[in-house]
Amino acid sequence: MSLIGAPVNRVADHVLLTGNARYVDDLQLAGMLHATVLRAPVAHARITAFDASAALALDGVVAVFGPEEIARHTEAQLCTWLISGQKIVSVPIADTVVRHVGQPIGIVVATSRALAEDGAGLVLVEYAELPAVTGVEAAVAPQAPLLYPELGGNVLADVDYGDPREEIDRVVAGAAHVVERRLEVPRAAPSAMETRGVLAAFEHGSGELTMWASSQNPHMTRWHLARVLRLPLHRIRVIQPRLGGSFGSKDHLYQDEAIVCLAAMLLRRPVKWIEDRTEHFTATKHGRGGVYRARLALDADGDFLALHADILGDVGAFPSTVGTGPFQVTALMLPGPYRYRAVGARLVAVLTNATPTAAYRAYGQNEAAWIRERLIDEAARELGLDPGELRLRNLVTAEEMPYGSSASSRSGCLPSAATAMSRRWSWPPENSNG
Amino acid sequence: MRTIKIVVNGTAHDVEVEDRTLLSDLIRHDLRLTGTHVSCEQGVCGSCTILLDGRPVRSCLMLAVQAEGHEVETVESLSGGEATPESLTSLQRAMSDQHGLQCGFCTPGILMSVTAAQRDGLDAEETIAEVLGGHVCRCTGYRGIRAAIRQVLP
Repeated sequence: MSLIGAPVNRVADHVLLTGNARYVDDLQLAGMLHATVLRAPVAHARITAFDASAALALDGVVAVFGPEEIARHTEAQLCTWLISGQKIVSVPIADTVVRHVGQPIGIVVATSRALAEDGAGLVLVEYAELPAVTGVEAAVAPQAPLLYPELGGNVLADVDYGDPREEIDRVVAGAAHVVERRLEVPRAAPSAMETRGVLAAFEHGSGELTMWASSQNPHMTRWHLARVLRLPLHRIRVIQPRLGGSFGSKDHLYQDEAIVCLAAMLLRRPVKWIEDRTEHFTATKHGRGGVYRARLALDADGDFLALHADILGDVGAFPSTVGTGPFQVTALMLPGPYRYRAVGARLVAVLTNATPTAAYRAYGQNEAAWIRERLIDEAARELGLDPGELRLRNLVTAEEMPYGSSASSRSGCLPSAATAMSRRWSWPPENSNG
Repeated sequence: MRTIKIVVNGTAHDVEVEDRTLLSDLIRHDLRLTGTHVSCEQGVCGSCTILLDGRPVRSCLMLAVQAEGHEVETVESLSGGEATPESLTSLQRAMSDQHGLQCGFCTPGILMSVTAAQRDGLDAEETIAEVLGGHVCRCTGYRGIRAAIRQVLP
């Protein structure tokens, strides 16, 4: 029997449908403690005082760790997907400078989650607020507040992709038509149904750490944990139980997750932390967030001559482990399946006082497709051409394959595929997402 | 702390709870029925839906003490405690057939709401419009879930 074209039931649905699936918050260990993460309520500040004495006096509160103590016990986490010239390549697990609302600054551990939250309300933190900047255009404006004054600006990196800019500018200058737009893609909060969460257990004596995490990338999490917690890699086990959605957002080791593991090590007790939905919106990395000034140049017949985008990518308060990766993918995927004489992008990655951005659903590809196809639609409108015909005219053909861009497929079926699609589906689609 | 009497999936319990304990936390952490999930903890997403005396309610919006003397049904009761492909109810089967789930986190709440609709004699279109609107799914989209409801309801 062939599976191709046949309906196939998933093999574990009965586990999920009967309530037997075990997600991280469904796990309990003997002697387990519960944690709540202390988070900054301000976008940019220096912490001037941290006093946990009232919290520690509360019955049931076992420990409170603040930013200085956490920093003493940990190494900075490495950024693993770098861009040429990236000015920040590691990020401390806890810092006395706050750069976004929701930044973890400490942890309260207690015998129940409710008591941990009671304790968190008693921790006194004083902040000396600093001017904050959100939005990439504001962050690169003259006189903008600086997140890292030592960098002299809010630009994390500035890199060109594709053909030389002078060549693109020359082709654009000689074109019969140029369509230019400022396009913006807002940030997105991933909001998987299951929030993030960690259960950490440290075996005193052997020095073995086991972490159950709502993670989509346990292997990389383990690798980062080893450096951050100063443990040999072979003494760390990261287990991914059932995962209640992720969409890229659980692709990282987060600082708060490392802090939970640290608490389990220091206290020699299992510690569980489950993010709540309110935390999620500022604590879990956002997707997207960019401003794109993009132009498409065409000749008098409607042949594409050049495509270029100036990308201002919103990195947030510090580069995540994947850093500018999604914006790099946007730059690399920008050409799509069409032919040009010159094509490229410039990525300026910008630090802002907001939640760091990272992987989210297709990792920069949607933005590339939207920028390009939006310009094509605008060009068709301005020139009075049929948008489908304009696309067919410029698609790379079989004779041109292999073609040296992101459309470097060898099959060369693009024009026939586009024609078949336009016959099969109406435009605009009647129902694009059930 | 106070002791309450509560019947869950046909079993009577005397449990000690704090006044502030949520019904969802009692079900999940004290009674260890972890099929009921908590996602938004503010009544919006529907993941924690259980049946209270046969009516669907958000267990994250009720205190455990408010459930004293009432009967609760959770997802674990649907297939009689069994967990094999053969033991599934027609609704559970339909959700699998129609690919109405991926990560499965929102699924138990949807199953409980639709089970109540099924018992109340609602038809498929009423259930889709009035009942499914109270549930959030982030993986699958709603097409498969709607198809599952149409597979089992008139």
